[in-house]
Amino acid sequence: MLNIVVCVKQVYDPEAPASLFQISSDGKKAIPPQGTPPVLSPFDENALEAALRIKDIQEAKIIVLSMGYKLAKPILKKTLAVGADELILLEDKQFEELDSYGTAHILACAIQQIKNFDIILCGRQAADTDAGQVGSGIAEILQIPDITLARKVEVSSDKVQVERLMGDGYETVETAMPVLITASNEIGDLRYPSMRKSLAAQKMGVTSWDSTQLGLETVADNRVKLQKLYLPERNSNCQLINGENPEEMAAKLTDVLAGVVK
Amino acid sequence: MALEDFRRDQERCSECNSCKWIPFDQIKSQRFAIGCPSIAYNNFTGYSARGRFAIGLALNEGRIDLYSDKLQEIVFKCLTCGNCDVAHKVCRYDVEPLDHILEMRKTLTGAGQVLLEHMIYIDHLRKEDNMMLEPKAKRGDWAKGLDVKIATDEPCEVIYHAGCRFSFDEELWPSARSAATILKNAGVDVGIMGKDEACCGSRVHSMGFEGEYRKFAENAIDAWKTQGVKTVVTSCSDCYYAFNRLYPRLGAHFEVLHTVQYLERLIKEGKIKFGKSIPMKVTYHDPCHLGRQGESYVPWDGVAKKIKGQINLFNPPKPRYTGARGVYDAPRNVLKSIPGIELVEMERIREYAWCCGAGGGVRMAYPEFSGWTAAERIEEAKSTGAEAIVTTCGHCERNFLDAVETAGEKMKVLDVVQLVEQTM
Amino acid sequence: MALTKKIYQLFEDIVGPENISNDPVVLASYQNPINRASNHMGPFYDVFTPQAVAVLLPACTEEVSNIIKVCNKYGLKLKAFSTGWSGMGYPCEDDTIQLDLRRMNKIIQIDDKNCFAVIEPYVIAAVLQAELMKYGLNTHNIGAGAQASPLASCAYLGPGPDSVFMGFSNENLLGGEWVLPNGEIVRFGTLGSGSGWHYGEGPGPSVRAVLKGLLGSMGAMGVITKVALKVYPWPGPAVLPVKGTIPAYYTELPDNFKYYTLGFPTWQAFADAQHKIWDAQIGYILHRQFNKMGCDLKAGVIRILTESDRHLNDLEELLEDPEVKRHTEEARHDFEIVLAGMTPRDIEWQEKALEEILAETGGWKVKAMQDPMRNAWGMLYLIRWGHKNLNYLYSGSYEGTAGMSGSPDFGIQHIDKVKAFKQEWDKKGMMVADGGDSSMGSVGVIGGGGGFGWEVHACFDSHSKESVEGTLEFFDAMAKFMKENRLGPEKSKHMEPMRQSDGRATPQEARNKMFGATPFPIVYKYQKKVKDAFDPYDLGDVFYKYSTD
Ligand code: SF4
Ligand code: SF4
Repeated sequence: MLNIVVCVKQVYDPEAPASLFQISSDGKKAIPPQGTPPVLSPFDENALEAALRIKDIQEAKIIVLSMGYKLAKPILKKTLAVGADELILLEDKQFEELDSYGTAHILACAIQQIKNFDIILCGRQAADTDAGQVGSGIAEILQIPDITLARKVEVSSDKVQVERLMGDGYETVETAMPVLITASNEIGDLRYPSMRKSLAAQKMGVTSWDSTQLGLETVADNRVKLQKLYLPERNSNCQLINGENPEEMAAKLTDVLAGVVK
Repeated sequence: MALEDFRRDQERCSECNSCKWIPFDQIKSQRFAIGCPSIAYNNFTGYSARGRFAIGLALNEGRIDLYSDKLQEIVFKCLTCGNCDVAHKVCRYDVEPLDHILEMRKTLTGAGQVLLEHMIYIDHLRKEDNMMLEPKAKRGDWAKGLDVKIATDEPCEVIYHAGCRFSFDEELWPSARSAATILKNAGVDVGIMGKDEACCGSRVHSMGFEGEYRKFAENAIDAWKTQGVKTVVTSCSDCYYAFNRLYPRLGAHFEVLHTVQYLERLIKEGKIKFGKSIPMKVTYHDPCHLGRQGESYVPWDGVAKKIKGQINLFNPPKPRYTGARGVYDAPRNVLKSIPGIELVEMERIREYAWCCGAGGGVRMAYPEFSGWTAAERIEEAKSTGAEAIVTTCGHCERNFLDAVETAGEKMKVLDVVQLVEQTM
Repeated sequence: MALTKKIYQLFEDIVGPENISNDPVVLASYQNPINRASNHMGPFYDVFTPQAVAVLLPACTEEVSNIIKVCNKYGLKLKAFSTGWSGMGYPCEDDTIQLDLRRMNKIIQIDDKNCFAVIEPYVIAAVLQAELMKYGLNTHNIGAGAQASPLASCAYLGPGPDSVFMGFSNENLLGGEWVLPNGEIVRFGTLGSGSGWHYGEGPGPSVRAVLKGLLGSMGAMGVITKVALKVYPWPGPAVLPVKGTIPAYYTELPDNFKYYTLGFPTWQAFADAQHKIWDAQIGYILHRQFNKMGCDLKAGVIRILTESDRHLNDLEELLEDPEVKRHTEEARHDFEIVLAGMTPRDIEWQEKALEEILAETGGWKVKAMQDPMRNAWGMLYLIRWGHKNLNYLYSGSYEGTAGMSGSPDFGIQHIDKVKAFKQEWDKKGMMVADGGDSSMGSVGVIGGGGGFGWEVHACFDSHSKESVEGTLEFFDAMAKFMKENRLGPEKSKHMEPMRQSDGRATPQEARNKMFGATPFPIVYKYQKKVKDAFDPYDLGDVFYKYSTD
């Protein structure tokens, strides 16, 4: 049986209306938007879908890992509702606001504790920071191969074939397991949980590990220091071009454009 | 606003418990004296507006943990029907029980303390634009074969918004079809959005999903503006509440009418002529969102002030939503004008009407509680001797239909519009 | 003893899993905040009553009895409440089980021939009244309002606006069912001898005195699970015909009902009129009520409450209105009266008698309250008594302070001094400046009068630490003032011997001292004996007043 670990991150809903997004007065933190639940980071959902597709055709156990502090269980339990077998939360006050390095470290530590793993799946990057570092970081710490930007993952006997996105197409790579793969959205959307499975998932237990249970005495200091968080200012200008007929309007438009471009 | 801003309300609740009953002045019997379904069904005091103030304060003061299953249940096992708000406001002017409950919900959803049952609907809504777990593609099916304008194809002054319930609940289609047809035949320049209609967001708003609500609201407002819509008509009280009370906060300026209001207008103008008589004794159920919560939005931006030392007021005066100006008479007037119909009243009506049990996400997450609430109302309707309970909201209608079926009752459940069409 | 899993299970077996909880969220909702009054024990900012170890919702007498037995076995204390409005219904010590009696809400019997009703704890007065009216009967409403439980005040005093006609709660007690602090069930009055529910003293156990003790046992002497109450004639419609738009509800009753606010030129005339009314034996409801909103403000507030689209914000403007000003002046020395004629001749006679009394005392019917809408509103207000929450109208809290109960002739000697004293404090801005005289109270008791229950309200903002603490200072000063002027106890200190400023039980030593300083210290020593006899396991808390000195 294959053992698959999927790392997911809980993020503020990237699709929440902009009018609800606020930054704390010290410019260091996003304020959780009231009335908008956090979501699984979308690429992580793709990673989970990749794992589920493997499990659709062969025997596999999927363990979902998520790290943070005061995580939203009802949101994370969605992973169980769609078919993951176990959800392990790495929760500790010290795990709040870690950078990619720290995060990779904690996740790697938990994966080592899980021991049995053939495939580790992560999203290509998180929807909030867009850093795209954690997956490769974990692979580095665990000293295993790492394939980024997967659009398809297939397993045959003891090997994994991955279609990996390139700027102008994709390449197919193959490697032995254990391996870490980061998933892109081309893999496909996460399936819907059925009502029945959702209700069953609600009753399933969740494992929680804190820093002590992970055997960590201290958590490394962040290597990235956040300077300032701010809302980009957007200015848009609208100029109406009038004319008797389309030709005239087009001519006027080219004049204006020429002026702007010049 | 944040929950912290409700501290003054939390600390000024007097624990008088009025919010558990209908206004004391209106109590006519023991059987129908209770006003809050949540406390009546769940009994622990936390399940009342009073209890939620106590719990909200404990949350604000850090005496209880935000991440608790019990808290979740207490916050979401409430219909947001607003009966508490009305009973409370018989005496009070500075405390807002219903707004506080809604704010608690936003706090919980923001922290991801949501119910999985709700998330199923939310996830679906995000993809399919409806709260009925149905595919988007089927949205316009209710109007198949109807000769009504499609607003995205040709401009129209009046939009008839069917809403999720009427769009997907086939048993209720006739009501929506009648509404659109009656309007059109009365010469109204009416159109529908057909398959491009989306959820109004009212229900998710009451469930605490502010972000989700805003997306739908902003889209609808934009679409209507682009199409030059002047008036929005709906047969669903939930949608009515969204358009009438919520959207104006986001800058919408449309005339909003519930179908019954339009019907009342058309009847007055002589544009609807009744034919045959319907000899039937009926009672009318006031939907929460058309009745007590059907008061129009009044813009306000002000601050608290004190006079005479410690009298709390607002500068400028804060609008007071008491249920006094809800839509109660239009449906009754329409019913009374139908030949043969005899309207008898239940004990709990108008601003202190008992809820149907469908609201606030309760039907999705706590079906038993929802069904019990509806069954209570059917009992009350029966006590009047009526053959039918008539209402003006698809959600109420569905919850009553289910309750009647479960209990094997003979009570008919009807929509005012259906009765109007039958007699034309 | 703390609540172990095993004990929890024992309780759960009694009431069922859905009727017990020790979840922290539930328990937090059962803590009474003491920044708000009127608990007659505060106010103290940011203080709550101690958390119970569990809340139980029993459904019947047997369950209550079984719960008590478990408490006694494991050394837990118990506190029960009916509606949970007043702070005295909540624990003051650790390891207390809270009983919320809301599931015991049955009207067991209405005997319209013998004029009594048998009820359980969570039957509120508004509900009982509505049901009784169908039989041409009515119930006594206590001052605490129609949302209060008529049963709960039976072991207290329970005066109210209609006391002149319907007495005090403890007078109306015709027997009942009482679970003793040792778990035993006692049926008292005639019920105890199998003779039905019609007489409180028996034949059968006569325990009313034990139950009530000195001024009430306040939930500390077992649990009363059923009572029979004497009920009174209601010569009105079977259902109160209520009209109007919220909050301006009103009732139009037949001609045999009259409501007036009576005004008098002087306090002396005010007192004389009360005596004359008692002598004439007229009146169904007799109460000074609207003045609780303050002598300078009430006329304006009444307009806000009787005109549906008004806001409290209109108050200042209204107070400038010449008609409102006239109303204010007309009602400086006022009280409310409702006459109910049992026959046309009766009402005619009562009206005439009232006219004569007014002529003799120089009094009048306050004109503004004769306006048909305001009159119909006042009538409903006084009969249903469903507006208790108005006491909190201004800023979320109030507490009764000066009380000069007794003959009205006593209070009128002092009310102006009290008023002036309060007015001075009002200037500090910590309380509502209502004109100084915000006294209210029940006028008279059954059997021909005798007393007026003065209670001066002080309204403050329970959300403002400044206001809460400033008001507390005022109460201290008022207590001193009252002592110096020999005016009797200050009301906000009423619960001081039981609960102290941290919400917890006052230590026995301090209690002994306080009780020792009262006019009848021997009563408290006697009550210790009663406590020992009836509550051997110390189930109830210190709200049953005793001294160990
Ligand atoms: S919310 Fe209002 S009605 Fe309910 S207890 Fe508090 S003050 Fe009274
Ligand atoms: S909104 Fe309705 S269900 Fe919720 S607390 Fe108020 S009255 Fe009860």
